[in-house]
Amino acid sequence: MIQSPHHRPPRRYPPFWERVIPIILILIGLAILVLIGISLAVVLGGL
Amino acid sequence: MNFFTTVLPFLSSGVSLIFAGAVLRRFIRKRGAHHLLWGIGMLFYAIGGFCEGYYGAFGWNPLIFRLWYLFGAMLVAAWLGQGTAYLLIRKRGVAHALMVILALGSLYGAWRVFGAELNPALMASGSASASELSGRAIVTPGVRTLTPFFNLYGTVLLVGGAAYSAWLFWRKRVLLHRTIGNVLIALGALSPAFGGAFSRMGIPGALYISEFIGAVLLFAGFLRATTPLPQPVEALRASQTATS
Repeated sequence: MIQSPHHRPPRRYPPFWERVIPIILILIGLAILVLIGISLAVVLGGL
Repeated sequence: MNFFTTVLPFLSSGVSLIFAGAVLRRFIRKRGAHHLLWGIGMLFYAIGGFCEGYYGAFGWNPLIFRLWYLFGAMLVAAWLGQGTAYLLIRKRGVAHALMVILALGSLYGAWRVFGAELNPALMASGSASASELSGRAIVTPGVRTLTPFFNLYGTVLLVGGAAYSAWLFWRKRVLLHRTIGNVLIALGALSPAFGGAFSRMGIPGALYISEFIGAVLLFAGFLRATTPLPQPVEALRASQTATS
């Protein structure tokens, strides 16, 4: 018996969110690093 | 009555209070330590905003200042972050241990803040005016040094946790409403974190505006994350024809 493979197309978000979300997440990651730097500067007496 | 120093912080407080009510109602219905801690954190947020508005409307009051510094400046980020810790940390024992440390640290912070010597004249120094509450009024050394530890802990957990959750959903391309909601929560938590940092550097106006934006984004993120989008918007399938 021949069974045809069921090919599932990949799930995707709407195009706008596909483009925007990774950019925002990268910026959030950078912002966290900046905040860590500022906090360290405060604790170490720089600010 | 100045809008930025009186009305805006009262608005922040109001938004935070409504948000706290929504989260605590969810805790009553669905339980979850994260809901309880987020609700408590947003109550702290509301207390901080109220104290800021009170200062803008009625002037200096040492009790109001201490309440503002303890709840608004020192503890709010840490308690919100602890809620995220309960949500994301799988090992319950680790989350409980962190909670014990936070509770003890909060008690210590309260003891230091309520025992600190204050000088409101110091709030107007450098480029900063005395129109906003500022931790510079605390004279006793070592009190303000505690705050960055609480804030860093809370901000990394809350912002990092929300960004991590958003990334997980995005990677699997599922539950778009939760991806968007977590992005909004991360941005909302970043706003007052940067506002507090800028305020500490003496940049006027940053704190209250950032707190209002933060409260709105946090609430919007929570509502978005808990409200599914219409089904066709959640995920689109690439238009491919299955071969047979």
